[in-house]
Amino acid sequence: MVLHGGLILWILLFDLFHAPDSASEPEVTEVALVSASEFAAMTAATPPRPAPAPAPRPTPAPAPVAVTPPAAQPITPPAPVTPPPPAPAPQTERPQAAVIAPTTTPEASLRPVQRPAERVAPEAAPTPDPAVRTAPRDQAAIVPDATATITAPEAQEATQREAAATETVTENTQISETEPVRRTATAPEVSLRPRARPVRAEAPAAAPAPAATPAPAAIETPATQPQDDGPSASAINDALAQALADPVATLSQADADALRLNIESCWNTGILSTEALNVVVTIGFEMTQDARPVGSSIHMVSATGGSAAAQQAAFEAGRQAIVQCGMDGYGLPQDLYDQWRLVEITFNPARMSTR
Amino acid sequence: MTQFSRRPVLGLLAGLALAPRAALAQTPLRIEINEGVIEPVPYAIPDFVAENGAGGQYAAPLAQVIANDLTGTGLLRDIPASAHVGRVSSFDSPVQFADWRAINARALITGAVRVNGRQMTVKFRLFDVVSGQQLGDGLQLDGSTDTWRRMAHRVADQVYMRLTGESGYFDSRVVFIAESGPRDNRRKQVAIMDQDGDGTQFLTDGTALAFAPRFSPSGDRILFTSYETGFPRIYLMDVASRRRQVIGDQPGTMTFAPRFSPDGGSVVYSLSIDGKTDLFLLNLGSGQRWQLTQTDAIDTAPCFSPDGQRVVFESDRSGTSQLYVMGLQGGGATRISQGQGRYSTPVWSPRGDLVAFTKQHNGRFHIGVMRLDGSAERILTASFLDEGPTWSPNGRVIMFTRQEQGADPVLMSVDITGRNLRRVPTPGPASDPSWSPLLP
Repeated sequence: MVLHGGLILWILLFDLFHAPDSASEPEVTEVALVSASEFAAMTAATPPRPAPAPAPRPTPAPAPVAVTPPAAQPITPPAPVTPPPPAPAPQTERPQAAVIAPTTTPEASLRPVQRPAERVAPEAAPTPDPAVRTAPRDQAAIVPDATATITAPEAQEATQREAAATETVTENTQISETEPVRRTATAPEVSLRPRARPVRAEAPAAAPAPAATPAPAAIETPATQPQDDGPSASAINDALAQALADPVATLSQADADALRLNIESCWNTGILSTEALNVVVTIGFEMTQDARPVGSSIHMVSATGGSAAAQQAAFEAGRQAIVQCGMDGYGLPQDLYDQWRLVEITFNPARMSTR
Repeated sequence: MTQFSRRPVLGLLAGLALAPRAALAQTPLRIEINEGVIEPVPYAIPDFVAENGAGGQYAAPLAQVIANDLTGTGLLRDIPASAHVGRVSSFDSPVQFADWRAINARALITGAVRVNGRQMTVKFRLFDVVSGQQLGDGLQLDGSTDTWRRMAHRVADQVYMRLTGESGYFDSRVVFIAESGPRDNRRKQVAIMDQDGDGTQFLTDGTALAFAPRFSPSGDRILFTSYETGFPRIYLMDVASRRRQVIGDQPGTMTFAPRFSPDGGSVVYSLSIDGKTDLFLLNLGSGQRWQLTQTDAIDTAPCFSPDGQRVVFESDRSGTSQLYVMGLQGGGATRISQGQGRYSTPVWSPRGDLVAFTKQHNGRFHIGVMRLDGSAERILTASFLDEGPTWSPNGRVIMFTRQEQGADPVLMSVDITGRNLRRVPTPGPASDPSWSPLLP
């Protein structure tokens, strides 16, 4: 009986502790049966489900494996995006915009290219008017005016220099008549040099106090003491005064330059050999009082560079220049004849060889 | 005592006052001139004086050939006879220099000619009109009437040398390739002519393509390349007899671009085998051959230095065609071309100081010169196609081939300053010139 009662109690209590949870009751769902073909059609239209991410596991670093690069595909460049305007920065910190050097590197030299001319001279000269006589210098015509009350200058014929360039214009460098602008010199519009960094505003440093300038030491001047040296002292003073007060009149630089320019215009180096163009020759000669060279006095003082034949050719070119341009006289001041009676001219063609 | 010692001082001071003037009178006025002008020097050459009747037919032509030579240099300009004031009626009569100064002549050439049978005598004198002096001695030339043009060239050489200080180049010849026929079936013959384009003769018959003829240093032989066998081979020809022989041939190879050594005893050339082109040196006497370069590049267009110790050539070993100099005694080659573009066909100047070359840059061809270290490059010409420079015997003038687009090739010459670009007259299309030395 006791056992029977215990059993009933156990059943009651056990059932109390192990009562089935209503939540654990199986759900009953209504389903519909589909065929295999219908299932296949459904799965084909459904995007694949992403595979669950594998749990991260510490793995050793993979060994480098040759990876076949993907086939190159055109990539549409991103649409340009207008960057937002930079936030205003303090003025002292704002960087300067970098100056981009303009593409001014030319294919050819920026130096102006000259028209070709048969004559190369220190100064370029345009093609002269065929109606005007050519001469070493330009000069305007002067026609005497018979009605003038003031004596008119002597009549002179207008002359023009021969057409000349200042350097040889080869076929490679010459320009055509219809190409006046392209190869002339042009300045870049902006400086090619980078600008200086901005100067930060700084508290002005206290100006250093000017150093005390030492007072110049007093220079002791010897006291002049009148001395009585007798009559000869005054004679010495007079002679000195005369020597200092009567300076010798000398040939002006303008006269010397005129002589140089005259001979330059007649010194033709075009006929010299390349070897003779390396010869520096000094030629001496005497001039008459009307400033014409004495032909027989022309002699070679010295010559350096080149062979004897080249030196002789260089001498001949210089001699011809002296004689040819002096045929009408060099127009030097006659009162200073003793200063230009003897002349030595050094002809140095180094610059001409590169023309 | 004091009075006595001061007297010399007084005299010294008095002298000091006069000394500067005396010193200036003794001291030359010294001036340095480094600027001048470059222009043709005007000269006059009246017809030569005919000293007998037979000489009359040569009096004017002699003067004309001389004038053409001298004026063709661009350094001199002849004053036309119509402007002459003075007349030369006798070779030995004194020159009236005032007549020639009046027309601004700087130099005067007078001459005379006498013909006896087939022998002729030509005399000439050269005067400096400005100073009224004779330049050098008068000269007399004797020869056959067949050589009257050569005698005129020799007079021109003498005048040129006396005026410029360097030897002339007029009594010389040029070998070149004379072209004829349609462009798709071109006939190319080796031809020879005087440097002024006169007296052209053909040295090959044109049955096979020929190119790149080169004179020997003595001017009596030429080298050229011909396709007679279907492959380029080098031929050596005696100009007088026209006899020729193949040299440097090696079965299975191509040989081309030959040049004589300065002594004429050897030939440097290119040999191409298995796609590689190297330089070789062949002794013409012994037949012995040396390989000068051994690279995978194309080394070609070799040319000896005047002393025979070095060779300048073109090579693409750096990727593009450039110029290199190499010693024959060993050692590597040094690249000398440093500018932009491609450089080819280098030729050493007879003076030894410059190398002339062809340059291709920016779609244009140029002839230029540079020093041996590649410095002082000077481009002289520019055209659609300029190539193959050759030096005059005195190293002053360069002759080359020019071909404008769609036109036939012609020969041109230019002074090494870049002035005086002129066309050299030829009977027809011409290319590949090579200048001889002065004729003996």
